[in-house]
Amino acid sequence: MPLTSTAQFIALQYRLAHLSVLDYLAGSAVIEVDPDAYARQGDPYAPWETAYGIAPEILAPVRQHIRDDVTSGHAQLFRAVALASAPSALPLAVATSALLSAWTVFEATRLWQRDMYEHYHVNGRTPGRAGL
Amino acid sequence: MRPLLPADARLLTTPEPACLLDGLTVALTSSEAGRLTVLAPQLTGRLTLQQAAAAPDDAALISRLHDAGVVFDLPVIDGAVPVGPFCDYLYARISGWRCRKHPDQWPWREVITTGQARTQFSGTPSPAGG
Repeated sequence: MPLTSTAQFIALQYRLAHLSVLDYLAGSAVIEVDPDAYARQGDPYAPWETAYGIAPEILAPVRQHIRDDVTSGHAQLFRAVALASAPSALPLAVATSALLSAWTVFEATRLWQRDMYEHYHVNGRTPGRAGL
Repeated sequence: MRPLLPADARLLTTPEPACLLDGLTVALTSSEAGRLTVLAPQLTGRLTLQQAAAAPDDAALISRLHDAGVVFDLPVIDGAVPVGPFCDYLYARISGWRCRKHPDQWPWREVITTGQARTQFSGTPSPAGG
């Protein structure tokens, strides 16, 4: 695993969790697996074993985490918590912050996936430039 | 409806007039692009459709952009947004990001889809797919 970007991604989640629960859950919504899609095709990491040749035990924790989330009915937690915490309206600053947090996590997933790609898919190119 | 055009939506006039958001492109005529340039500052969720676009053609343009997913119905009243519509908006934006990833920024997706991914660790040659 590309440890630096993995640590940065975890640090981002940690930072959002301490910013507010809605910021954290807005970010989580970006990586939330749609239960219908999960029922049809499984989790998004299923093809990685064959695509990247990653040992199943490396992916197992995150796949288990996704499975637990889906089977526990954790889809759209942001909506549930937002409605519980502010049933009528959210201050604009809170809403704007949540949207920004979601975008930040989305961009972080892109950078992490880029690093995963460069880490595993060298294909004769120099790591750090591959795929860009 | 209280129409909101997200602040990061882009209005192009060349080479072809269009409105862009989250990888979605809605083609416009030159006249529509001109009207949207004028209307955009009103599309903040603070005005009703009738207040923001009094002319029938303008209202029709906004409605078309709403149907296309570039303009949202998100009331912004007294410095706040209603929770349900905001959640709809947030999830719609996230869905747009996830479903319309630009190949130039996510090039590895095509590599994986076409089965070209390799499994080598950095600097460690090994047979493809091994």
